[in-house]
Amino acid sequence: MINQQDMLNVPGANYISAERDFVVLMQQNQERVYRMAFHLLGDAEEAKDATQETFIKAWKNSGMMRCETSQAWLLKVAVNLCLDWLRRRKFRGEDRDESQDELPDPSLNPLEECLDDEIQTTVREAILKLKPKYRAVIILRYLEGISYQEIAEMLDMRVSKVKSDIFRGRRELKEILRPFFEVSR
Amino acid sequence: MRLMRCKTVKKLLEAYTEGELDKSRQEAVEFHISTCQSCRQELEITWNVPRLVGFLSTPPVPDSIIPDTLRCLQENHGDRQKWIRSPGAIILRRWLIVAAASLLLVFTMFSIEYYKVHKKPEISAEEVESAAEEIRLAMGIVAVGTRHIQRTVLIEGVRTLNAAKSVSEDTIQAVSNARLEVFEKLQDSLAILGQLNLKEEKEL
Repeated sequence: MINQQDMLNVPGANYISAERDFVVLMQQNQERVYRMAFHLLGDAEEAKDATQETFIKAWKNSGMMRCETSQAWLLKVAVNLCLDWLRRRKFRGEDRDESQDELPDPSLNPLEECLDDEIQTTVREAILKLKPKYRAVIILRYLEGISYQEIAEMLDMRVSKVKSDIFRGRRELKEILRPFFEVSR
Repeated sequence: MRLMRCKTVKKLLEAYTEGELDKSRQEAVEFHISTCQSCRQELEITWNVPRLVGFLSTPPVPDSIIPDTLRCLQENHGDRQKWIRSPGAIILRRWLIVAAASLLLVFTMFSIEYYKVHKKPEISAEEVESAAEEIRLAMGIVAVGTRHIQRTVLIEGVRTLNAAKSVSEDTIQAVSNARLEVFEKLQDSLAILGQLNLKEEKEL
């Protein structure tokens, strides 16, 4: 049986190699998976659930995962899981009520290196206003720094489709954030 | 170089900032931007949008993710082990094994009987070809044999005929000789008779 305390405190003690490797895999990737889930779903609790679900799927399908591709594979699982949840959320009519979101003071300059928390919230909320498919490609491209080709493989799309979704997503995001840019000038 | 309008340039700014425009359109956009303040400002905003996304921060990762994941996996694993070891499951498994073995036995026996009754032995293409070759060979031998027999019969027939011919020729010759001999004897007899008659006439 797996001893959690040993795993967390003393990597390599008292359990079999596959389980040890799995814990190391989770430690190395949880931040990236959580970050992506958080910005896709817009909720910390849901992001935590999505991250756990991703790792559980990884454990169950460990035969399909190879070490050198484990990170990309995990991100792929996480993205598709989050998109699936967003689709089901929309189907159930559980969309987030964005009308209650207040825009912060637009007089702040968004180009400063240390962004104000309210600006962070503004950009975050703007991303959540995008359609899920645009949201996913924007986050993967500009937050995770993933190439067009890798995004296409993750989402099972053509590269040309990825590019056109990124351009359209950026255009929409620009329109949502336009009041800030115009005031800051 | 073609000239572009603001509306067109603004649509191309995202692709331009990604370096996805071909050379002629890139030059057209750059030329237009150099002459249009509004599009220059628009370009600045376009550059800033992905930068803002890249600067987004994320709340700290909850410490409970890994332990909760492990606990969930353990519980699923433990539940499964508990079920596997329960008396009911053991009995059910044994009955299932017996039922599966019985079905397999019945199916095997049925298949064997069915095969014996209905199924013709399958002959491979190679076997068919081999048999055809042997038949062709046998037919050839038969043809040769037949010709041989025909020739032999013919030869024997000719020999018999020749033999018969020679026999008949000999017989004809013998008959001819006998006729000649008879004729000669008859002539001798007639000659003797003639001499006797002359003698009698003289005596008279």
